[in-house]
Amino acid sequence: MTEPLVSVILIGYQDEARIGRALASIQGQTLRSLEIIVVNDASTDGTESVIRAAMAADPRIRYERLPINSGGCGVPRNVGLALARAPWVMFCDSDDELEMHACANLLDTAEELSADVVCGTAERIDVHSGEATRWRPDLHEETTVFTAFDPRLLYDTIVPNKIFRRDFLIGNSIRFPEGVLFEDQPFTVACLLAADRVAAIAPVVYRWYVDKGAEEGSITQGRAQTRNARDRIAVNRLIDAMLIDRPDWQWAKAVKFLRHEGYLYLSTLLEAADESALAIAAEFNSYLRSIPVDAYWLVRPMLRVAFFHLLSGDLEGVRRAMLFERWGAVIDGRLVVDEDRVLFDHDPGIEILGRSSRDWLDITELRLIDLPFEMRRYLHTLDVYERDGKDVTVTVRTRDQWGDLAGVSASLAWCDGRGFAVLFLPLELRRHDGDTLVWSGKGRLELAPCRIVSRGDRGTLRVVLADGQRSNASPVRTQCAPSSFDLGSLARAPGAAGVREERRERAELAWMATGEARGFAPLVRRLLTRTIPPPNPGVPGIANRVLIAYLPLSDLPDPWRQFPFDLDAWNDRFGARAVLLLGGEHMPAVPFRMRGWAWDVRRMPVDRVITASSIVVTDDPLLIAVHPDAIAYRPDRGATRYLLPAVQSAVSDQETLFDVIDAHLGGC
Amino acid sequence: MRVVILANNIDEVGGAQRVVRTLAEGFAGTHEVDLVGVTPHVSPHAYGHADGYTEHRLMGHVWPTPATDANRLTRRDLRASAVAQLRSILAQGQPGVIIVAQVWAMELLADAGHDGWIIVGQYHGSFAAAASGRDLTRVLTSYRDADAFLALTEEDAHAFERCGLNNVRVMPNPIGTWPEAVDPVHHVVGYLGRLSPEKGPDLLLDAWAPLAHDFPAWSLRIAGEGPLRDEITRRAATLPRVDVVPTVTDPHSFWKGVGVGVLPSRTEGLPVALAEAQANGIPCVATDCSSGVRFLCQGVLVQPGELATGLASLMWHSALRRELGIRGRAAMEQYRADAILARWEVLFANLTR
Repeated sequence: MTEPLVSVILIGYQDEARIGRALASIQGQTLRSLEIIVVNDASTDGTESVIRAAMAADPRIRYERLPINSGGCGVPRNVGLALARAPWVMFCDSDDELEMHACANLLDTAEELSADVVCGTAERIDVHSGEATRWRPDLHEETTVFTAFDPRLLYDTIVPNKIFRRDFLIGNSIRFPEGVLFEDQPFTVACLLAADRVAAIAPVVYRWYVDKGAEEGSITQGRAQTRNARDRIAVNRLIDAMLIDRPDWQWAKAVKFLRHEGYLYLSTLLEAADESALAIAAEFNSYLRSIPVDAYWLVRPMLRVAFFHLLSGDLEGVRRAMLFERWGAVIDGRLVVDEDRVLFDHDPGIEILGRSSRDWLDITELRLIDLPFEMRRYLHTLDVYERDGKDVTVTVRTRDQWGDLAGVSASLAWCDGRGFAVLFLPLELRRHDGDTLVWSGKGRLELAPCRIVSRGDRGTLRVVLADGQRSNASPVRTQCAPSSFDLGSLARAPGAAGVREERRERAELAWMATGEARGFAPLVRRLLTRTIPPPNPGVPGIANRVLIAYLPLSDLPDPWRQFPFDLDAWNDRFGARAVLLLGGEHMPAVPFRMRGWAWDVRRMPVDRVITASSIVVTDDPLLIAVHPDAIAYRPDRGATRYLLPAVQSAVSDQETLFDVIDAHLGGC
Repeated sequence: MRVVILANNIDEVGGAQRVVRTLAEGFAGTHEVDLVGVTPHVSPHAYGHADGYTEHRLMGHVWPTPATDANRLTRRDLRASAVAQLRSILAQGQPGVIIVAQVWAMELLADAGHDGWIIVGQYHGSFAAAASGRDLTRVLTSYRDADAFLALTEEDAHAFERCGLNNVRVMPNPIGTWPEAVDPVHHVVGYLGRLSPEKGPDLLLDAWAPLAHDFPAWSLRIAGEGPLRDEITRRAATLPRVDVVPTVTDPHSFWKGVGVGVLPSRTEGLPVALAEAQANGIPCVATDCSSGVRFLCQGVLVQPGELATGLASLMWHSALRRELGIRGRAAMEQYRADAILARWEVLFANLTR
């Protein structure tokens, strides 16, 4: 056999269940000229027999077993590197897979562009849902050659999505650090520093299986452990030492640390028990203080608030700020208007790293204070949730961050996917605890007007707030046990017998109607929903009306500051609330400060949804938050949504836009 | 090495057929070549002797379309026998490379199995054409695991890549035989292609009506077969100086008698007819309907409604015709069969590593 072109180094420890899949993905590469080096980090399970079985059928496999377990990836990868003979080297972990064209794509590019390192796209796959997301897509839009420093490269420091020239690694004595986790990062940074040419390509080369829930599994996933935090810091100190005479890199790396690692660990603090959270915070604290203070002003405002609380030793503060980051713009705190600024909670009047707490807590740019009622994300906590026969007893707490909930009515609602109530229980205001409203409700569930429940209906428990004009339906969060109950006569139409609830991410409760499928439900539902749009209880249907303007971001040079429309003027003119929906071809480019307004829009494939028009008018208040596809024009769902003709050219002129809307609404 | 070229059919008159024949002839010197068509054609076009390669047709008779209840069973049996036939052809020697010219053929090949073979898939339309119908989904599923998928232009390659294909490369179509240069002095506008709606011969007749009046010395020659033939012939009879002639065996001889070539298509891939006309030194007017046409056309690119204007600009001006003819011929050099075949050999070497 001819000399192999690429050595693929596969490492594994106690992974008999998955190493076979990884090995098969390497053996099945369309590039056949491979040397496959499998390094077993002293597994005691059946890992070895899986490897031996594959070896018997494939002479390209070489096998090395370490005498004692190294506890990380650094040692086995270095062993593999020392064994490698091919001119190019790649890596794979036993729980992941190489995409079948990975070696061919990386090698072809490396040869063609004479690069020392080529990175492909890694795809993160959720092991439960199978959902795949591209890792760092902005770096991998098309083939790009880097001959000078580019900060984007620092955001893609994993090793298995890359190919390395072996001569280059040897010549620069680049090896993995041993005995620490996150050994990928210093290895990659050393390569980026030493390489003359680095290339990035678009195709997916690596399937990276991620188990978001599990503590075990992949070593680097168990973030709650303090060892992780310590190693993470150690690795970053190692990298800082490598960058000692490269100020441009240092700065970019500091910002990346805050945005990426900082975010990960602050998220950990949300769930971790207090002692381990404090231990992790202590590991981070001294390192965070070594970061130039200006870097904190390059991260998202609420993340900066979380860093402030971490640096000032307030764990509760960190958690409240991170709720906003992790739970989709939920605000667990008070919005304080301080002259021309909006602060997150009151200013304690201290100074951290030479900047005043007033600066640290400044979240004015999120524009949360102007958020229309329908679009706010209230924090509702379900404290008591009990059932006695058909009667339900609940207690709900609501944070009144905007301070305008006096006189608003509330109900606990089992809402459908679009945020409209199906079943509900009216709530009564018990008392006002500072900025917290405490509601209670007791009695039987009611079916919302014009609704039925049929098998398979599903949604989330929300609190519907209504002031007679407008409504808001934010999810309730709870630690209470989910319940299941019979619908009895509530089901009115045949098809559903009961409701089953289950806990979801972000402490939400999801519900689903169960029962036997029978024939009439879809027909009845169609008749009901065709005639009357589903209102939320307590609110006349027509007052739900919200205008949603969709503007391609590309039309707005600076999407926020130069935004040419006055939302209040819209409201006066049309007697409805106006909501902004921003989109564009490059959603990742939506600045974070916009996302408070249109939180889920960034996930929406806008091109697919609206092509014919740049403006959509709808009466669905939770359109954006609840169902991304809902803004597609659906004439079959009744005339509750209007698609306006394209007015892209007139986008800078509010009056013209009004005229277009007027003309259109008049015609309907 | 064995090279099997698999196409939907190898007997019809058309660009894809000419391409696979050129490849088969080109590879015949160095490889052991089988040219396989899935279905025979109603009226097979005489392509001449298969020189140095073996021809096969998988189905015993013509694939019945459309899919009706009446021919459902026939179709099922035909397909099964085609798969079996393909399997036996593949079993006749050591596995090498299979070049699959169309998606349908790839679907059959997937059923037949291709262990040990290197698969090179092709799609002869543009990305836009694929995306406008069901083809795109079929391309993405059938060719995902192929060793390489060949798009006709860089632009199409990027578009397919964005849809998730990780094996995309670029390979333009070759021009079969390289012709002598022609001086475009004849006052004839020439159309060579299938007479079907996507090729737009009706648009050409629309454009001709005013031109015939302004250019009394010029005539229009339309060569080809296809579903619109009757309609085109009927309409041509009402217009001055339009000849509808049967399709030609040697495209170069057709272009020798022409002064301006025209490609009024509604959709296209990388049109062989345009490449051949330009190789002859004939200046062309083409509608801007695909990245392939944009890429290939060295003459005048027009929007569909402006065909007459485009043609007139070349008919007026003999010096411009000559200059664009020379430029077009020079640009087509890179598609000469020997150059493209060399690219294929590089591809084979790359894929067999």
